[in-house]
Amino acid sequence: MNVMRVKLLISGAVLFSAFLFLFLSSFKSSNLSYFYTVDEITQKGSSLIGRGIRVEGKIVPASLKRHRQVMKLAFRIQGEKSTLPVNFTGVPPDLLENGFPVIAEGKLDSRGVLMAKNLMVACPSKFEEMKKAGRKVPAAAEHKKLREHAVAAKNQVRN
Amino acid sequence: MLFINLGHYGLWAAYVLALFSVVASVWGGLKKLPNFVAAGRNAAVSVFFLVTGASVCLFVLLLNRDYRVEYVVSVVNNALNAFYRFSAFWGGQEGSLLLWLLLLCMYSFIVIQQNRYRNAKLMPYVTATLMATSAFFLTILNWVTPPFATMANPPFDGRGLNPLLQDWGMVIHPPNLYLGFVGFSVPFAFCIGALVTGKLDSEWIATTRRWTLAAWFFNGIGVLLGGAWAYRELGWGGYWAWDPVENASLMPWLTGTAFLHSVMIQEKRGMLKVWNVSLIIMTYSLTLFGTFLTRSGIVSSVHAFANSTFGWAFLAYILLSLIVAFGLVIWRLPLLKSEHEVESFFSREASFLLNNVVLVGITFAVFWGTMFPVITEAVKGVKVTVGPPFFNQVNVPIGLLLMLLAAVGPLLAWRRASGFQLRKNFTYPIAVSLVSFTVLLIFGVRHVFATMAFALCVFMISTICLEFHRGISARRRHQGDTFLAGAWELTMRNKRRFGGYIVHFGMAVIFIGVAASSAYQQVGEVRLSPGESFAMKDVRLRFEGIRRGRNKQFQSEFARLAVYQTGRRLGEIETERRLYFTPPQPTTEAGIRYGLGKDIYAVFSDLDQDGSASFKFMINPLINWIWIGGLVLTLGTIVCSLPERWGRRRRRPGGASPAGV
Repeated sequence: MNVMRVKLLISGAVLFSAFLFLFLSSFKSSNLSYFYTVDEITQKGSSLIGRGIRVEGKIVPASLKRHRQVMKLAFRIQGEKSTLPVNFTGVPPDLLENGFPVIAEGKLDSRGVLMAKNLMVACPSKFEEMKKAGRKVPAAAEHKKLREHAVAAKNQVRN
Repeated sequence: MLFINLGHYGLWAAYVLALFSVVASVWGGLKKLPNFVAAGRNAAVSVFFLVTGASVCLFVLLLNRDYRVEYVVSVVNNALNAFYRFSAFWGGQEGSLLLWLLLLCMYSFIVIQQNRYRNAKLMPYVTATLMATSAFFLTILNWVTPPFATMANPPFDGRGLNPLLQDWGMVIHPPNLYLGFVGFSVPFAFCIGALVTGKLDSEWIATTRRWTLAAWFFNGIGVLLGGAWAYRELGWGGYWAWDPVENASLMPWLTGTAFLHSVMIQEKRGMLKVWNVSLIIMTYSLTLFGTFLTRSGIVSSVHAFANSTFGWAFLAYILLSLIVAFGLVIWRLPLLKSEHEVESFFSREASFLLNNVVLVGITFAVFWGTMFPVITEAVKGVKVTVGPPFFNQVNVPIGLLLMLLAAVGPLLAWRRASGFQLRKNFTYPIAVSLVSFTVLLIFGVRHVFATMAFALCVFMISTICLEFHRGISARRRHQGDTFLAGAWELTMRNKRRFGGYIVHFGMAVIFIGVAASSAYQQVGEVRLSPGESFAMKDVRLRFEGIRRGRNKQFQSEFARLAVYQTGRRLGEIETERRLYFTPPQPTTEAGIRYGLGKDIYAVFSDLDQDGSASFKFMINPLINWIWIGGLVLTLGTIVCSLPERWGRRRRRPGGASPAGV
């Protein structure tokens, strides 16, 4: 019986180390994405290349360019002191133009452009919840704006 | 005002009674005072009626659009139809928590009724544990997020249900998931009862077997339904993104699966007792933790429709229950000794043990990936997210091992499988899976993990088919049954075993769907003018034009697409963009042409003034196998949980009975 116990222990140890190896080898920085502000990215620059990056901010007005045939977007995200160029290929999310803050996720290329793999719009229903939680909310203003946009969009659809 | 007050005071009364029930049950159990036990039980029954009453009140308020109630304002508006007003019950935080509580009280009521004359020793503690959980939810519902809170100036229209939640998937997904989550409270409560009383044989496990199975099943179906909803409604063409909220629903299912298997070892061999109680404690905590993750918004998530401050109460309760439960385990360690030991690697015990380790390993990896961002932010102040690649890299290899175990384990004998048995059970399946592996390679399937997954699924399915085949032919030989009658009798006479095989079969089908759709998804993004088309392999999509529509709630633009395959017209799909009026929010309804072989999936993202539109097209091979697998799994679970004697042919006196009874 003791032999069996030793065998079990050994196989358990082997299994455990295999799992640990798998786990540690997967848990590397390219599989993570770190939140940075636009200014931090501009400051750190090339040291961030290759790292997963997540950044949130508003699109600089009039910086949004759409390349028509090949579904490419280019725009800049506003920081406090600087702006960050972002490129994105693919279908842009709903509400992109409505002036909501966007969240872009991806990696920096050598020119310092964020090549976004994911592009999301910070969800408007969040504002409601923030208000409930007693946080500072841009809600009133945002909602008014949203409603205007909805009306504008409605008219656009009608025409 | 009537329903508001009834609901409001009903919940307070339930709160007092739940606390009383805990105290009376524990005191009555410890001091052996039947009157106190009965009082505790009756209080629990009253809690059930009070909570049901309060829930009915909330339903009525929602259906009547009573905007004096804050919760009603936040999830309902004038344009919302009755169906979604009904489902708005769980569209927000207060209602979701009330739903949790309602299901828990319902389960408690059923458990109490089932065990009126049974498990007399355990029941006081079972009642106490269930009522303690209820009391916790009532604490939150009464102090932190009262669902019946009123507004000083009621508005004329509500803010409305989040458009993403206006979908049948989101109507049935949360109740399903909660039926599962809450269901695990029952075996947990019995486990606590067994620990306190020291009756640690397998009786508490046998009593709760069907409860565990039901909880496991609803949890799993809830996960699948969540995936189906994401696939149809979120418009990114996938069903699973390792999002924190998805992970939260998966983790208790994983440990629940482990528990479901390891209790069999305790029932048959009296082993793994400490492990079993630990697993159910973990599962219970993970269900609470899952609710906490979903509802607190602690991890930023696309699904976090709520963002609240009551997280600490949740964490405190989870910690408290962990401390109490594991304290009891440590106290009872001497009674939790194993009656036997593992004798061979080629035994069912060993394979189930390994399956448990693997499942807990996956749970750990998922937990780590989900919580790492929270921990680093709290400790180092650095915000990080862990992306899907981490989860996939860790879990795909472990998942393959799990599939192998699921194929092999049920066919190994208890204690020790002989070489003869191994050859008998596995020669053909191994041959079949090797052949299919080769065939796949020849036909150009080169994705390493996907090919392995397919081969393993074939292996799994062929072991199951072989088992059915053997059983059925034996019955045909000895009882003279027809094939179908033989299959029926075989399954009905060994419901747990063959029901289990059916469940495994369903899992194999799901795995095939997951492997194929994740390894061989094709994506194309393009802008098209009316009349232009886009091709992906042999599928061509032609943009036909735009159609518009509107109703009370939203207006929409439909893009019509004609689908051609190798030149032949298959039909049309329409993908829709909606703009909801309140709250003003656009949503995308994917246009999907479902098929057994592949789904053709189209999302329409924006329309230009010149009439051109941009699209995202996807071909998702075998994705429907996931949902079909879910149906098979449902069938298997039903077979497993049927009453012992149900469905068996009655034997006529004097020999074998003919078919057709």
